[in-house]
Parts: sequence; C-alpha cells; structure tokens
Amino acid sequence: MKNLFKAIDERLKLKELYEKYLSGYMVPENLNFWYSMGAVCLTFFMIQIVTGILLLMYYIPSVEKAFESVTFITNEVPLGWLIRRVHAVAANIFVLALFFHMLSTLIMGSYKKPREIHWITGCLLFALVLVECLSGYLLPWSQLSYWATSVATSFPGAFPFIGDWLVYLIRGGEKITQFTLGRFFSIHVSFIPFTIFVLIAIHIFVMRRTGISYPPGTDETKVKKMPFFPHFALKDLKIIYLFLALTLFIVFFFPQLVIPHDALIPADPLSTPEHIKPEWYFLANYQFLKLIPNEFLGIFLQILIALLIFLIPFIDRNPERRIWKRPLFFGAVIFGIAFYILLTIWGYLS
Amino acid sequence: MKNNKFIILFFLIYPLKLFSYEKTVCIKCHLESGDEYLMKPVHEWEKSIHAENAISCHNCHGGNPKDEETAMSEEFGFIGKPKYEEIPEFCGKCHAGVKENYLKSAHGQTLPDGPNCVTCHTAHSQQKAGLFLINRELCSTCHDYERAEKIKFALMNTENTILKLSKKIEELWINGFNVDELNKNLFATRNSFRRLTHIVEVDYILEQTGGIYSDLGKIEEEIKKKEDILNRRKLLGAIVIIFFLISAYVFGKIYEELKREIKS
Repeated sequence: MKNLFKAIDERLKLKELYEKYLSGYMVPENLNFWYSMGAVCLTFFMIQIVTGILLLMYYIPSVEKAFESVTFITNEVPLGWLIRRVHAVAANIFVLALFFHMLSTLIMGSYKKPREIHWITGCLLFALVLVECLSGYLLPWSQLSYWATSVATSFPGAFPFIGDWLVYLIRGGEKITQFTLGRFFSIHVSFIPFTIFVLIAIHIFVMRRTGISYPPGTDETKVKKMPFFPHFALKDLKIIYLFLALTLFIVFFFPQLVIPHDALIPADPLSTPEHIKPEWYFLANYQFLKLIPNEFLGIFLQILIALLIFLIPFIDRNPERRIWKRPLFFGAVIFGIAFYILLTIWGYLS
Repeated sequence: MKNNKFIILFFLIYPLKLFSYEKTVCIKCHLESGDEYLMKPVHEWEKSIHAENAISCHNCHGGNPKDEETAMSEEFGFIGKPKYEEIPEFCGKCHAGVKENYLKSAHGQTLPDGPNCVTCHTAHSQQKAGLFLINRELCSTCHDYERAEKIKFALMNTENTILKLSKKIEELWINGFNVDELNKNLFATRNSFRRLTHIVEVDYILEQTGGIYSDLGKIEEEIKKKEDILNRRKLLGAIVIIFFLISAYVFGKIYEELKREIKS
C-alpha cells in the first residue's frame, strides 16, 4: 500500500498538493462560526447532487408517470424513502445555510474590496439555488407542485408588454403541462447544477487568490495563524455535522415539514387546494406582492432591492468593516432582517 | 367475494374525482335561475359527501351535463326527480349492497309508505355516513328508539375500530407510505359493515360483525407491519443523529486542543 502511494505520488506529486493547499494553507485562528457556512453550503450542494443522481435512476419526467414514480421510489426502492426525504429536506437546509452565509458576509463587510467577485458570484449562486428549488418543486407532479408552480409562474405575467410572452416561455404554453414539466426537469438536472458547479469553482478560486477575510476589527499583523487542514477543517466538520444532525432530525421525525399533505396527492388541474402558499424562503416575497396593490410595482420593487444587494460592494465603498462603526448600514440591515422575518411570519399565518 | 363489488364500485367512482368542482350545465342553470326552489338543491349538494367526492347531479339524475339542449333529455338517461317509491332504486344504482339489505329489512318491507334512503340521509345534503344518524330524534319520528339504540350499541365497537384504523392509515400516509391497498380494503370492509346498518336486525348484525372483525384484523396486521417499519426508521434515525452530535462534539474538542497548541 505504502509503495503504491509512493508510486502514485512520484508521478502526481499529491503530497506537494496536500502541503500547498491543505496543511500549508494558513488561515487566521480567530475565525468564528459564520466562516464555516461556506463549507456547510458546499456539503449540502454535494448531498443534493448525490441524492439527485440516485433519484434520477427511478424518476420518470412525465405527467402520467411522475407522481407514480415518486411513490415507487418512496415505497419500493430500497432506502428510496430516505434518499427522497434527504433530497427534499437538504434543499431547505441548503437555502438556510446560504441565507446565513450571505447575511454574515453582509454584516461582517466581507464583500468589500478585494472580495467583490466573491459577492457577485455568491449572489448569482443564491439566485440559481432558488430557481433550482422552484424547478425541483414541480417534478413530483403533486397537488402542491402543480399549484405552487402555477402561482409562481404567473407572476412574470405582470410585466408590461412581455409579461404574457414570459409566462408562455417559462411554462412552454399557457398552462402547466408536460412541456412545463419537461423544461423544469431539464434545467433542474442539467443546466442549473452545472452552472452552480462552475460558479462554486470560481467562488472558491477567487477566495484562495485573495485569501480568507479576517473577522472585522482584527489586527492582521498580530493574529496567529493555523493550518486549514486539519485544524480549521475540524471546526468546519463540527458545524457540518451539526447541520447534518438537524437535517436528519427533520428527515426521520418531521418529514411533513417539507412534504406536507398536498405533496402526497397527485396533481389535479381541476381541483385547487384550499391553502396554496410558497415555500418558507419565498413567503416574504409572496406577502410583499400581496401588500403592494400593483403586481408589477411589487415585482419591480423586489428586483430593485435584489439589485441593490447585488451591487452593494460598488455602492458601499467605505473600507470600515466593523458594523458598529457604520450606524446607517447597521440600521438598514436590522430593518431589512426584521422586515423579512415579519413578512415571512405574516405570509405563513395569512 | 362480497367485497369485490365494493372495490369495483370504488374504482368506478374514483375517476369521477377528475371532474371535481366542474361547473356542469345543471349547476350553472340552477344557480343562474335566481329561483330559490331551483337553487336550493345545488347549495345543499355543495356541502354534501357527494360533492366532496365529485358525485355531481348527472351521476344520479342522468342527462348530459355538458350541453344545455340535452341536459334534461331522456335520450341521455335523464330521470329528474324520482317518485318516493323509486328512491331505493335511484340510490341503489351506486349503493347496490345497501339497497339489497335495506329491501330485506323491516324498513324496506314497509315500502311504499315506510322510510327510505332520504328519510335518514336527506335528498341532497348527505353527510358522511356514521352512527350519529341513528339517534332518538330521527328514529322517534316513526317508532320507539329502544330497538334502534340496541342496534347502535351493537355497531359501536366496530365503528370505533374502523375509525381508529382509518386514523392509523392516515398517519402512515402522512409518513409517505403507499396506503392505497389498505384504504381499498378498509373502504370495502367499511361498506360491508355499513350495509349491515340497513338490515335493522340486532341478531343478524351481531352474527355478521364476526366476519367484519376478522377482515379488520387483517387490515390491522398490515398497518402494524408498516408501523413497525416506521418505528425502526425512527430508531435508526435517532442513532444516526446521536452519532452526528457526538462526532461534532469530538471534532470540536480536537479543534480546541489543536488551537491551544498553536497559542502555546
């Protein structure tokens, strides 16, 4: 075994790679809990890829067979129930970790020069993950899938002039049909995962080139450093395992949180379920749209807010990263978070 | 064998669900007429178990539900309002087993004057059948309640068992199990049992409930098997979660140790 490794290393210089990128890669020793969120996101992306590939072996993207195939996976395929639930629950935890990752980056000012590209790729990743979640939602072809997609895809219709065309383009017709399922399936399993993969690669590449950001207020000359591997990797693992424990807790004990009643009934275009609401991460946007009397204005305002967040490294050029030294920004962040949580709760209860 | 009839009936009715809440011409005309007398049956039906299961006007009254011209045409089997003595036959088109037992019963024997389906179940606002229908107020309109109460008592345990099993099946369904087969069997057994109600004869009911109990026992066994799987899954889940939590704790401890080494 030792000789085999030696032979491989002689050719590929793996030890050199290990020393350069893992044990020799030094990070500040005062990195807090939030710095592990990136690793959590990466882990959950990999979980989605692995479970997604396994589900693909049995899933049939046809309006006649989709629900039946998901039922087959859940009841007949060995451990199919576990894989399906992990895929559904981990998607939610992935979005949650992404929220934490973005929020900590925002609060700690880690998006500032020279890390603007991290922020831009991160925002694009977040948007893509949300589209991935939305496209995956339709695939089981349940009542929940059908009607939630029907509501979500109707919003672009509010755009003047191109609205109807946009809805037609997204749905592949006027209604949610096989064409919608086909295109959602296609982008869910190929286009988006591939693009996410490329963006993650760019995200990590630029992080390694600029170095990890120090926590705000740190005197970089005085802080001790530690190897990324095994030191910081162990801390990452601790947080990853805590997130995995949370995921499995929902998977084994509260699966109905992500697979509710309406997700267990096959789609019926002639019967609308009583309470159709989007997933928790879209509830605030949904409630916001309900509050604004004009649908287009509601969408326009949300796009504007998203654009502001996306361009924040170019708007906020003050190098100060300590949030308590930036009262205006601090106030805006607190207001934004409180408003988002309030709208989410309101959307859930209404 | 007797159950097969109900399974076939179940599959005949189930596809009708596809047409649920479809505004047929019957519903449209009755509602748009503005006439209270014509609108009443639709409003009553909307709250009924028939509406819940997408059994619409034409399923009982016949006619073409998609075309105003032929909606009330005899060619399309339009029956309209049946005569009092025709009601058991009218309802019996779908509830064949119930009709059979009812006709043999003391109730059925008193036709055309005695009570028929709508006396207890009403004409349009039928609710999900249950033992609550056997009550002093309703039964006493024709005779003493004593005999009916005895029947209700004899049926009570079975009804409770059916309710209990129905809840357990729902719990399994919520947990992602395919319960189609269980539901089908319980549906058939429940129908056999509910047919008994219409015999209105205590001794016969007691004699028959034995067979029904045996069928319910088989369903309970199947439920138990699935519940065992569910419990095993939860146990496995708890073990894996504890493993992850302990691992997280160990990783944290090693990390702190390594960090201390750097500081010193």
